[in-house]
Amino acid sequence: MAKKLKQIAIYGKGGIGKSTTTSNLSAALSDMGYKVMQFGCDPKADSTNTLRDGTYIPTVLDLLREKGTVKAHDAIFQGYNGIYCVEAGGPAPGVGCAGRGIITAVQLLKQQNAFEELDLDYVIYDVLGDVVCGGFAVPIREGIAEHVFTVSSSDFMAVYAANNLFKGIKQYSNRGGALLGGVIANSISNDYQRAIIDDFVEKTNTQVMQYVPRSITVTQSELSGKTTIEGAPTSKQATIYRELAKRVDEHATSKTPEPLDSAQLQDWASKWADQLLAIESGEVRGEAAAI
Amino acid sequence: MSIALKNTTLDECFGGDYAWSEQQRVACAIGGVYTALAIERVLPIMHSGPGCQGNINGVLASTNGGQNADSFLESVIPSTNFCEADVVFGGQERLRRLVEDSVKYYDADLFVITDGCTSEIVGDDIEEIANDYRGTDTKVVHAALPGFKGNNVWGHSQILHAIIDQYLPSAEEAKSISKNPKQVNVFGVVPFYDTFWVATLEKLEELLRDIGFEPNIIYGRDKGLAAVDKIPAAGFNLLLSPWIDLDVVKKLEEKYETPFFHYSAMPIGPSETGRFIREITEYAGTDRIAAEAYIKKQEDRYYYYLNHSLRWIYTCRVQPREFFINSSATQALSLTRYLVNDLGFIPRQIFINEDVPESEHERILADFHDLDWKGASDIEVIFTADGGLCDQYVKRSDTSFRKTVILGTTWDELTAKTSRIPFVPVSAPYGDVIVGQKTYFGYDGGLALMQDIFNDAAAKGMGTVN
Repeated sequence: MAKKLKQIAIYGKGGIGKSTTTSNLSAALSDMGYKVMQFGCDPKADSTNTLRDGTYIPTVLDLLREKGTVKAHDAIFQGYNGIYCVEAGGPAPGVGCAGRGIITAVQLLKQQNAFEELDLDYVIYDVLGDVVCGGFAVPIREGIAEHVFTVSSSDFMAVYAANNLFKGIKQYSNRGGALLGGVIANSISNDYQRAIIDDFVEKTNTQVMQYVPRSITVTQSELSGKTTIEGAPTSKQATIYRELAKRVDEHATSKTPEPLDSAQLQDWASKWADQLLAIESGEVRGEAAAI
Repeated sequence: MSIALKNTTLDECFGGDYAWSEQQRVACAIGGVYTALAIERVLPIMHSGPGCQGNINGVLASTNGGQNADSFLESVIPSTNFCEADVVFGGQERLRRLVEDSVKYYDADLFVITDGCTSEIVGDDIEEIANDYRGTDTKVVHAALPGFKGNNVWGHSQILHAIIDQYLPSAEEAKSISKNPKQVNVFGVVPFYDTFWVATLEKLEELLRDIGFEPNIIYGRDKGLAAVDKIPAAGFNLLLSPWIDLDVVKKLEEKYETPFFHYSAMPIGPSETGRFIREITEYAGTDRIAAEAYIKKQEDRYYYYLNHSLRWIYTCRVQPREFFINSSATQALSLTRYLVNDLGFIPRQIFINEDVPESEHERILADFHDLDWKGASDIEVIFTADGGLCDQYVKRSDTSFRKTVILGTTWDELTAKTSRIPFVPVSAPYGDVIVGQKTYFGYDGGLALMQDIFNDAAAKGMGTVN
């Protein structure tokens, strides 16, 4: 029996650590013996850099622009542990349509059966997470990814972007689109950050896949053009990424999220603002208030 | 699709049972390039997809009376053929090169950069490219024509606004231009889309000259930019349509303080043409006695020809006396006034199919009620973007004795054939024939329309036409 290809999309607000998380996830899954492709869906085209010693690869759209047509294999490059790396690419900032670029790039590889020919276990799409137009929703539409994970810190704007993504997922959920696997909580270094994310996932009917603390090991590895899995395989941070990979690998059933509407999100944020103010000013709330 | 109804509803017409059948009677906004092409030696440069020009060509030109552009044939219009790579990366730089080359190789007086849906969606900036030529001897203007904003009538308006805003002198510059009180700029005709535009404008020019004006028409033979340049000098602008170009004459009033005379219909036959001459004469304060002499001379001629065939008409086996119209607001109103006021026909249902903005419906309906007929206030008009509604309405109507004629497009000819009733093409797509110098404008136009209606009625009555 042919093995089943598992397609995953990782979304998140720009700069939140999405590519770092995705690359470490790809590296960890690859170490587990899986054949993995990482597909960067961001016009910046830097998703796979740390899998290839910090180097950029020609993007699908670069090749399309130069040659008019693209053979899938010309756009696929191998990186750490044989991981297949693809970058969709896109236009220069301020011109053209990056969304259409992603549609074009994803369709190009899909039409040429590149995934089947490589006998992959995993395709992981690393997507710019603001889902500003239909193009950025391509990986969550029918027939592409089955599971979506979103990378979010406890910052309000990251949560806001995640909530928007949930709206996109819900939109496509009854049309055979991808469902939400959970939130990868990034840069979680203290209890209140953890509590914010926990509260958000509870309100939106999803789960936390892993809490990833901010770590200098990640920065050191990235500066030397490597993932933490490759650059610091014995570090605590690498263990955290491996745990994430294990959970993603075991994850089978995703759900339709229940995004908050604008008013709900605002209320939710105000409530947390009050709590954070209370923490800062030393006010004791909850069970401890009775002491 | 917008359906707007005034004194009738679709449910009343169709008993709640109707299906939409779309038939193309307008083109997308890109159809506006035909307004540019109608001005001699003006060349559009299209920043739109392969096939966009071909698509508008069918309904507005080739199957609309066998027309084609004159100064620049459609086949030589420069186009970027906007494709997927342009969508992704933006096609602005390719357009810039195309404009540079077009300016080099084409001998045109004015270049009009136009775009379409895809280039507008991805945000290519055609204005920036047109601005490259600002202050040079090469005249370049730009007009955005995304199909999602409107049809070819909207596109026509965009081209005229581009010329007024970007090519014609500013209000300040125009202050030194002395006004010619006799000069009348003519607006309200959408060239190509109005199948009869060439001959209509020729005959209108003749008429205006005959009654003492100096008409200035920008479209057609021997006009070009020389006519466009004269626009600010006019004593007044003449608008001959219920709503099209109303925004244009208002803009000219604001920019050059040129007043406008609005006559809602393009006159057909003696009643309307006479009324038009009297009203414009009164508006401009020109020689009424000469105007009356002109009217008398033309009416005598009109009735001579009518009387000349009167016996044949009365013995015609098929006597049409009611009509359906499926056409633009201008054409429908002009035809209705002639058919009701002069031939004594009764309107059954009028479909206005160029997707008229809802804000204009009330005014247009009032124009339809302005008839010499006691039933005028009950006249039924449907404003729609679905030209196929007429077909369904006619097929559900009692058309026995062939007493009803359909005036519409070549699509409606199929309906007329099925129902075996008389038919006369009057608007786009007119059909795969040469329209030539045909027009229903004026006194001769009324006779021509009367002849076409009765000839087809007689042919159907004798069974010589299916």
